[in-house]
Amino acid sequence: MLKAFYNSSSKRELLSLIEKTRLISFANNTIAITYSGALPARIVDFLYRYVPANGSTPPHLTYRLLPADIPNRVRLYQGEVFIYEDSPELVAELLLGESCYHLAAQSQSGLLFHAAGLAKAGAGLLLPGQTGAGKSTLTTWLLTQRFDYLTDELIFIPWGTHMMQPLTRPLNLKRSARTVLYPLFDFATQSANILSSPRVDLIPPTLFNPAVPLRQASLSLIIFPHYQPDSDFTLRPLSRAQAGLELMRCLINARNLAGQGFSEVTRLVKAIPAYKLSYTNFEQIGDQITALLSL
Amino acid sequence: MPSPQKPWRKPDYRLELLDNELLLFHPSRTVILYCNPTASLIWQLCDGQHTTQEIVALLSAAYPEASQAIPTDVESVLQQLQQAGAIELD
Repeated sequence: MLKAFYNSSSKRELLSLIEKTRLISFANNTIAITYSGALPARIVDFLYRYVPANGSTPPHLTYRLLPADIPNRVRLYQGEVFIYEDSPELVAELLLGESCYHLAAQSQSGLLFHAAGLAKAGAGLLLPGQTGAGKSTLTTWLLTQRFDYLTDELIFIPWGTHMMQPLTRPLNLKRSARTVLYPLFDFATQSANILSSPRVDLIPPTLFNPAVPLRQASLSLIIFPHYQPDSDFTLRPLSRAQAGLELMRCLINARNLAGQGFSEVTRLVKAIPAYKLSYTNFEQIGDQITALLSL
Repeated sequence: MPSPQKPWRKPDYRLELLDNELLLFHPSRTVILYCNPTASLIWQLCDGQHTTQEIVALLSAAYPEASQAIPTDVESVLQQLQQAGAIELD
């Protein structure tokens, strides 16, 4: 009788209804996501597969992700408060944004940059920039050039170190980036492996580089990217003061830090070379970033 | 015509001299200013002792090749620093 029950599909269904908890740890912060059902489980795994779950701090916020009454829709709660119900793609996009925001808002004991991060042969590359600078698009191309992935959005550098610690998430690419990415990625054949909303495509980095994303890398080079159609290609070194100015503009958690993190930012720019990159297409970049990392 | 006023630096800015350039940062107002080498020199001369005319004269003596542009540069930099609340004019 028991054996028959354990093997039954109803048992699997029952187990899928039991809520599980996934801790999401980043920058000495932790949030929790409780979920049940196959669809929410797939979303959580898709979004946070590479994010550590062993945070040293207890979660300061809990999201709940549950199946909706309507098939193929999910409901998102913050604590017990209902936030949103929609398709998996739209809820995933919202949950990713919310979780990034709340992990960043509480961050202390280090510098948290709005920046992508990659590495090549162990040398870390920081790509700081505001939304729309082209961080994710450039990151995607660099993955095809066998750079290791850290993140396309948030990098934490603990006090007194040069260690880049990422919030590793799927690449979050605006739909407008498809025109640039078509030569690199077949969106049609990969549609089952990505989440696409009307605004963005969420794409696992391993579809561009099969290597498992890195948990950290030592910062060796800073490049401020700027994608600008129909412009001249430039890659110019920044003075330390210019780099400090640009880096302060990308520091997300300044208000949580002593002295707004100014002395830590200047410590970094004194030690790490920085460049400003303006590009129209990837061919212009070629091996120049790799060459700078090798210096 | 440069002003006879004596500009002086507000004390609540933190500064970081990086090579010949300067970053000025006001922690509570979260204002950050970048000063190129010329602006950095001008900032350092804003000590409440020198008038704007004296700052122009000092820079013109040090950089005679740029003496024509210096009065305008000094006025422009002082105006920007004042607008950012980094200096006051006595």
